[in-house]
Amino acid sequence: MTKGTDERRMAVEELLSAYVDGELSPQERGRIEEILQRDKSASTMLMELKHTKEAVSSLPKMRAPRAFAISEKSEKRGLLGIKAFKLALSLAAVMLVIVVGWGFFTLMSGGMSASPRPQAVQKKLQPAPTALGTPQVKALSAPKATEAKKAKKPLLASKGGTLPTPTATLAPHPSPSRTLSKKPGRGTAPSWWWGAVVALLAAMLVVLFLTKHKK
Amino acid sequence: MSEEAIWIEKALRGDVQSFNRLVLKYQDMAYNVAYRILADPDDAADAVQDSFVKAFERLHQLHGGSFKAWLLRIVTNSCYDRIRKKKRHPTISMDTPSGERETIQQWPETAPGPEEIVLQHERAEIIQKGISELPPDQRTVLVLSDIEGLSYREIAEVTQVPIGTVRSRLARARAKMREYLKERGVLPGS
Repeated sequence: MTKGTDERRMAVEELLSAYVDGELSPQERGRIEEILQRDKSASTMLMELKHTKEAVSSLPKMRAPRAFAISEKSEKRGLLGIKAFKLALSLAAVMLVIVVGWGFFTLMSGGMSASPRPQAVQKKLQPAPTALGTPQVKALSAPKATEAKKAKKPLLASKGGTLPTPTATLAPHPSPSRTLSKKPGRGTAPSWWWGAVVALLAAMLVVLFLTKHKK
Repeated sequence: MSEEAIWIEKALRGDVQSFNRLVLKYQDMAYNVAYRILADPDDAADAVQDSFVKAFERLHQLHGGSFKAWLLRIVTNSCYDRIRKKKRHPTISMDTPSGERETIQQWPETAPGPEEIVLQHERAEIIQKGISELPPDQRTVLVLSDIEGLSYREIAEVTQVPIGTVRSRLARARAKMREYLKERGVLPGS
């Protein structure tokens, strides 16, 4: 059977099905009645459709096996349950944000306080206007070979009797943050914070699991 | 104002007793539709229970339309959810097959005789199996039309599709059912 014939057959079947239900417009009804008069297969199809509808309609009506009435108590409990669940979920989310935020802030502020403040460093490294050969200059004039190259000019200048500039002293100086980094709290979060994060994540997972398997 | 409209009005103000009058009025229809779509008594009962709870919670969303159509929409959606869930997680029931339970519940003692009861039961089982093999959208339209007797306009309201779609879905469903029943000798003359 060709595609066109199939489509035409389906169109006729659709009209016949609606005809059985009395759901056709007057024009459509006229059209299908005309088809029924000249096409015997359409009449057979109509009979079969009527029998199919009767067969389906003949199925026994099922009665509710129990009363589905809603009890005032259970309904309130149900609504309250949903509200409590939502509230718990929101609280958990807020707590997670606070803990993570606080931890992040602690990390950041810890790091910032541990890093050398430009002014303080400047002050510390600022050499006192002393004469050549003072221990401070000596200490600064003993860098690695590469550093010494970089610091050639200032060193030569110091030989000439002028005072080293603060920038010249800063370059070869061992990082002051290295000593400061040993202070507690820099770059690490307190252990309780990690505990809280893990506990909250676990709680969130439990909530997600319960949500998925609620029914 | 109709009796039903009064119950809805009261239920909207939180009167559970008034809502339960609506439940009593429509629970058989809701269960019958759910049972014919799902073909499982337990699933159907759960779907109906969920639907009534949802209906009570969302009653404010009913803006003066037909409560029956609105409720049937909730019921059919609940059935679709269960069909989808079953497709994702198919389970094998260890209970008595649904057909057997249907025999116990459905055939009254006034039926002519045991032989006829068996025949009627077998016929009903074949028809139900045929319905269950239809795609869910066609199944719903067939149940609403041929079992519940809803008009095309009412079905369109329940399923939220145009009347033309209802008509074509129903025609396809009937075409499949016709072939199915013919093959199994259920239709007269087949």
